[in-house]
Amino acid sequence: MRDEDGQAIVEFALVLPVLLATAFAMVLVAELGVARLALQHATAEGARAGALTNDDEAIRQTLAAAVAPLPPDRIATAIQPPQSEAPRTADPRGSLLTVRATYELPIPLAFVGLARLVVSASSTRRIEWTP
Amino acid sequence: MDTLTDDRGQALVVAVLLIGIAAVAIGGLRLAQERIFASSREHRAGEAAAEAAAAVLADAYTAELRRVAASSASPRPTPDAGRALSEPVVRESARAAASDMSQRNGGPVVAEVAVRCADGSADASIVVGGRSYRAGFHAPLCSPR
Repeated sequence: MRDEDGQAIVEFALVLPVLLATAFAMVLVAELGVARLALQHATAEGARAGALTNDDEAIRQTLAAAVAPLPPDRIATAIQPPQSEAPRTADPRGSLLTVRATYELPIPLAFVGLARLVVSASSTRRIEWTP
Repeated sequence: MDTLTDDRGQALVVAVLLIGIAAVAIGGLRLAQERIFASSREHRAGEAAAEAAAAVLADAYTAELRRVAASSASPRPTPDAGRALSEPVVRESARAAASDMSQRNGGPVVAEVAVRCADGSADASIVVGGRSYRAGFHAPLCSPR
């Protein structure tokens, strides 16, 4: 009953989940920071491209190129106002263009019911393009 | 039971220690991230603000060109870009545009815009968060004659 053989293994087994959860949380916080910076940079570049070209396709391409290291296909982009709406259909110079991007951080243990982590960023620029 | 040499409860102590270290590490990481993020956001806001101010100057510059082109006086007046760009109403419009753009992008209010019309270009300079930003455009009328 008082044998202490194997005590270290038992204690390690008890501490291991805490250790793993700690490491997991730190990696997640770091990934969150990278995602925020990448999205902020990408939306700023996208908005700048839009201000110069008034072209939604150019905005999306610029954003996709600037969002590294995040995968561009997992980024949801919203452009306000869209190219098909006023004032962007006529002479939009001086009006505002806002590019918003959203990214859902993949969580390895999401199936156990962890909350979804969604990161978003937006940038606004005055349109400089003239027809 | 000797309370000084008893081994029971060691795992609990280690776990609590780990959680404490993790909390400090994660808190520090978040704090550092917030500072980097705030600095980056301010930088973007400064860039956007400077470009907005320069766009207002560009509009004033072209308006001066149009005013002279539309004049029927003889001889036709000479465009004065330096005067047009340094008018208080233009400077205030540039400042307001810069300030609005900075705030929309999470930056601070822009208190002043410095306008320069020289050496063939026109520039707007602002200071946001201790860093200066400048944006300009090619302006031949700003060349000395």
